[in-house]
Amino acid sequence: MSTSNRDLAKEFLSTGSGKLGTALFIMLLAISVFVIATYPLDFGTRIWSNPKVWEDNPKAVPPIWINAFDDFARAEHRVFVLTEPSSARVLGGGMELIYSFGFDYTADEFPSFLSFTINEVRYFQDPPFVTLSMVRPDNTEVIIYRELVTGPRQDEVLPIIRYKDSPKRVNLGGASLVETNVARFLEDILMRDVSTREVEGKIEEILLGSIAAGEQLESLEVLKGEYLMRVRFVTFDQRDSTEGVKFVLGGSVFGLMGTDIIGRDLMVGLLYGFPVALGIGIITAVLTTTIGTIGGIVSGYVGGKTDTALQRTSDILSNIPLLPLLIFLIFILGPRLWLVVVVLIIFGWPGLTIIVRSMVLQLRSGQSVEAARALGASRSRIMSKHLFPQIAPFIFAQMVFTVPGAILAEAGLSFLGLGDPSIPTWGQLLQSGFTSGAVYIGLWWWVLPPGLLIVLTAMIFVFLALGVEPVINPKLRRVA
Amino acid sequence: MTLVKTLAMRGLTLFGALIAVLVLAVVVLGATGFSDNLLNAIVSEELRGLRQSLAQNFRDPVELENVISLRREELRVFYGLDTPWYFRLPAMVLRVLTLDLGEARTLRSFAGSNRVIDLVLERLPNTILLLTSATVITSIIGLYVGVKLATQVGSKAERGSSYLSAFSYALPAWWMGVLMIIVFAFQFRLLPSGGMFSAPPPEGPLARFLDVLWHAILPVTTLVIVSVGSWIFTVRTMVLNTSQEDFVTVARAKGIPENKVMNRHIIRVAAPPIVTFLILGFAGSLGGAILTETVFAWPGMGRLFYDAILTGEESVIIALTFMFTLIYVIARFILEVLYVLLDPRVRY
Amino acid sequence: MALFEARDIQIHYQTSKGIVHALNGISFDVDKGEAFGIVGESGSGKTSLALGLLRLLPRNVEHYAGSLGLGGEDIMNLPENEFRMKIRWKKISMVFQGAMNSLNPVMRVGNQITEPLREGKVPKKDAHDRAVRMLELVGLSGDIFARYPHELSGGMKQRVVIAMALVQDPQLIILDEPTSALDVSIQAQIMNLLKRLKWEKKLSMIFITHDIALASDICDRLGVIYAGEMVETGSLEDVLQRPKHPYTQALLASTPRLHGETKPSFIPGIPPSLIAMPDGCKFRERCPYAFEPCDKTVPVFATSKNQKVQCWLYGDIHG
Ligand SMILES: Nc1ncnc2c1ncn2[C@@H]1O[C@H](COP(=O)(O)OP(=O)(O)O)[C@@H](O)[C@H]1O
Ligand SMILES: [Mg+2]
Repeated sequence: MSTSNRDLAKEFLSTGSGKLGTALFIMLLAISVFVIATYPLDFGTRIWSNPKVWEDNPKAVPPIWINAFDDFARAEHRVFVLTEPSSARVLGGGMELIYSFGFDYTADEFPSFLSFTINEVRYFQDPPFVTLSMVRPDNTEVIIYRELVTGPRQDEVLPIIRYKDSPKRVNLGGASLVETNVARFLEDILMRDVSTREVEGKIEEILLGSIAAGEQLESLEVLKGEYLMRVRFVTFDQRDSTEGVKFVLGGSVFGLMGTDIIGRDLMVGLLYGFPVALGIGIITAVLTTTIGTIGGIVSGYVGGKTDTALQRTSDILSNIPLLPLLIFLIFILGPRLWLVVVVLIIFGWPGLTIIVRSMVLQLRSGQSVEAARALGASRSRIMSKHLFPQIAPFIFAQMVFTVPGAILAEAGLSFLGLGDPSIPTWGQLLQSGFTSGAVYIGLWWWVLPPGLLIVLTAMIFVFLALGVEPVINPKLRRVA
Repeated sequence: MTLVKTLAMRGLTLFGALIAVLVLAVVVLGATGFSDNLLNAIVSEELRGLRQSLAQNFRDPVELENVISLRREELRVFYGLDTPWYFRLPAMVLRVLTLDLGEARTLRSFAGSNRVIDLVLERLPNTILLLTSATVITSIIGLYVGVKLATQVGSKAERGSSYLSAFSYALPAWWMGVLMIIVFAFQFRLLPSGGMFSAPPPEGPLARFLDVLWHAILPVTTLVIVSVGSWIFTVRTMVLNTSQEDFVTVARAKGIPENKVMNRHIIRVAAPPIVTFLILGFAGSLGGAILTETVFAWPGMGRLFYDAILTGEESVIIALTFMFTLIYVIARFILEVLYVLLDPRVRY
Repeated sequence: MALFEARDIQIHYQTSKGIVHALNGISFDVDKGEAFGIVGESGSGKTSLALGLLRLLPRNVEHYAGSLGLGGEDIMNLPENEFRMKIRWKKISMVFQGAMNSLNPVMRVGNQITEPLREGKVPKKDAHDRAVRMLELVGLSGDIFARYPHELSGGMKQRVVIAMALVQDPQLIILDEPTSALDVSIQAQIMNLLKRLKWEKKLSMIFITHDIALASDICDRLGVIYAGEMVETGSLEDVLQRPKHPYTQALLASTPRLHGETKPSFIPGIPPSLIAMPDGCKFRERCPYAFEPCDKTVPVFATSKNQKVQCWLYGDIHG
């Protein structure tokens, strides 16, 4: 038996769809293994559904590579994280810590936002003082932001720790202090009074724009070149310390797959979808076929009341429309992925049982089975050693074919908003795209890739099944 | 006689499926406490009305409370809330079976009724319209192309058809719908993105009919695209299998011209399994309608299902689960009858 | 002049494993009123030959050649449409191997019998009457007409198929293993029916079987076919009593006889692969008399007026 199955495998690999399917399947598997190895277990709840994680990402922007399609250089997303000061010296009773960094700005447009984050600060006396300033390519200097770390509350014990669990994040474009600072900076250059009203909503443009005396603030050009950023901490105790700062130049393109409306990196979500889809498909398929096969063999071989009971049950179950009932159950019992899998199995096995039974009925009077029975083999031995091997290739094909069905069913449910929120899937990505209207405003990078991946993954398994089919069905083989 | 028995047997099985769905639904509702909550809500609603109408007559608040709590007990007994949920099971199943589907909280029919049965019945024709037109178009294309391919074994198109079928199987209608909307409704602005009528709907029956047609183009095309591939492949395979039968060669030996051999000895013989596939395809697309109608905002039962999920309308969801099962079961029964008509071998 | 002549019929099939040389030059004649038997093991090309005579070729035929004559007319080169309308069923009809699958399962058997008549514009009533007469001729009742195939037993189906083949009064009827799928008792009934028809209707037939004993029951002359070649032809008596070809001899020796003293023996070895066939005699690997000329192409030698054999053992008689 095993050698003939090996021959079947060889024949399978010689078909076009078999080869293609196998190659793509190995790719799927590799990506899934990579994701399982690198993603934390609670990815869904702790990372994906946590808006804090995605705060510093641009919202609903396309992937980076669209820059290759035209001459316009969109602003790329840049993040500067500094944990060690570039210089530190004693100043009075405390310290002066300087974090400096620079960037070469070459995009044709302004950044979509600027954000500045101060990480954990600990101090022993008076709260430290932080200043963010910038030297522009035209050698003008702007003091952008100042922050006095929140002072001690009554009865608080030393050292005082601030911004530990929620770092202090400032969206520079929307902070009134920044507006005041920028207005003052403009007054120096334009040599006239500038009100904060005038700079409102234009912080990014002014900070990175070329400004000369007499310039209108309406249509500023990007000032390309080297910018130098400086963050200065002044402390009042030498023991004071900080975990550093973060500065973000918000892009209008992001990563390989762009972002969604809350700034989530779609690449991360899409990758996570691989093991999930594969898991749903394979677990459902394996369990469905196992139960279906056992049911069919027992029903066909044992016969009698067992047979009647199994057949009535399968008849009824296989006449139930799956999707409406699935929706009903998930709606009432709650969106849980394992529940989806269980329901798919419960309504999936009967179809197979009916087919396997009819195959077993034909086989049970066959020579090898008769011979085994004459030799006194037990029922279970006949079923597992004589009947099963003969239908195994067919069962395998059925199993492969069940996979895409399960993946598509889960995707459909997720699309209706009944996806398990703790486990993001491609269907859920699509659903959030659909309900947030991404479809209608042309955010293609949000709705195309998850759908394509669903189709591709399902298709890989259909190919595999198609490759298996002529191998086990000689009638088709002659046709093909 | 046996024919009647066969059909009766199938009918019974299908009815069993219907009952199984209902019992499962009711058990799930009961065991999760949903049904208690539902009935309690009804009781409180009635009591609130009672309190308002009695407030004028009763000066004494204590007396009022007494009357109300008496009435509450009555109602609780009436709805069976004084017994565990499983005692109410038979009554509930019976109610749904007789289409006594209750009332919706917030959803209303186009005519303003809050009775679930009105809501559902009003949407039913729209769903049937969408699905049958898609099925009819798909089967015409599938039959035509599939038969054509079967006569060209080994050609590029014929060998490619299995890939087409794989693609078509793997392509979810809802995603295809999203793509169609992006391309035809928003990119090229050729067709409406959803709904069934323009706002405001045009005057006159002909104009209205054309308006519906206009709105149906995208959803119907989508449904056809996602199912026509496997249709073509199935027809091709069944026709090919049949054309290898001996009686086909016999017919040729009898000097029957090729087109009659095809119609009378191949397609006619392959018809029962093809019709099976057709009806199962239609029945299967019923579930898919929930997704397709959602995408295209088509005011059918599927879209109602989606709206009910969004607004958490349990009674509508239960009613629709039942209705979908009912239509599915009816479709399968029609299939059984057709099969008997088409294939004398089961006509015992 | 013979009623039917087949000359050098060759049929090769295209398969994924290579080209199958199913028939490699088969020639024979059938006289009017004569039953010509074609005997050979399974896979020797009998069914291919029968289909080839009706020019019904499977899709994967790679090569088909030879000549066919009926009543002196060359029918091999008739345009397909003319062949279909003039020859098929009208002049040459056939009973296919396996009556089980020869009938369309969703069509009433009567309509399947009248179908070729209706194609020829015979009025419905006449066609119906003729079909009923045919059913009665083969020993069935006329009300079988409205039945479906699955309602009939195997023997009844075989009779229907024979009635169907006779409905246009053909000049020649090809019977491809007409009894092989039936029980022995039914087999005898069908053979008796065929013998009666042959006698009553003066039928000319080509009777194909793997069972030489069955052939001897009805045939006037026999042809023995091996690996797509006609290795021996001759009158029934010649072939049975004086078999010339070693294969015919082996075949006869392997057939159990009712009154024979010798036990049947098996033919050692297996038939050659029809793919990549060597030149020369196809039987030489299994032949006890094989000698050195056997790997050269064998001509047909006439050993008597009526008997011809394709074997180098008889080369000197001629040369
Ligand atoms: N359509 C076909 N394609 C390929 N090989 C065929 C086909 N039909 C018959 N053969 C092969 O040709 C040989 C002769 O077959 P057949 O004519 O059916 O023999 P017989 O009727 O004597 O059993 C066999 O080896 C068979 O496998
Ligand atoms: Mg044969």
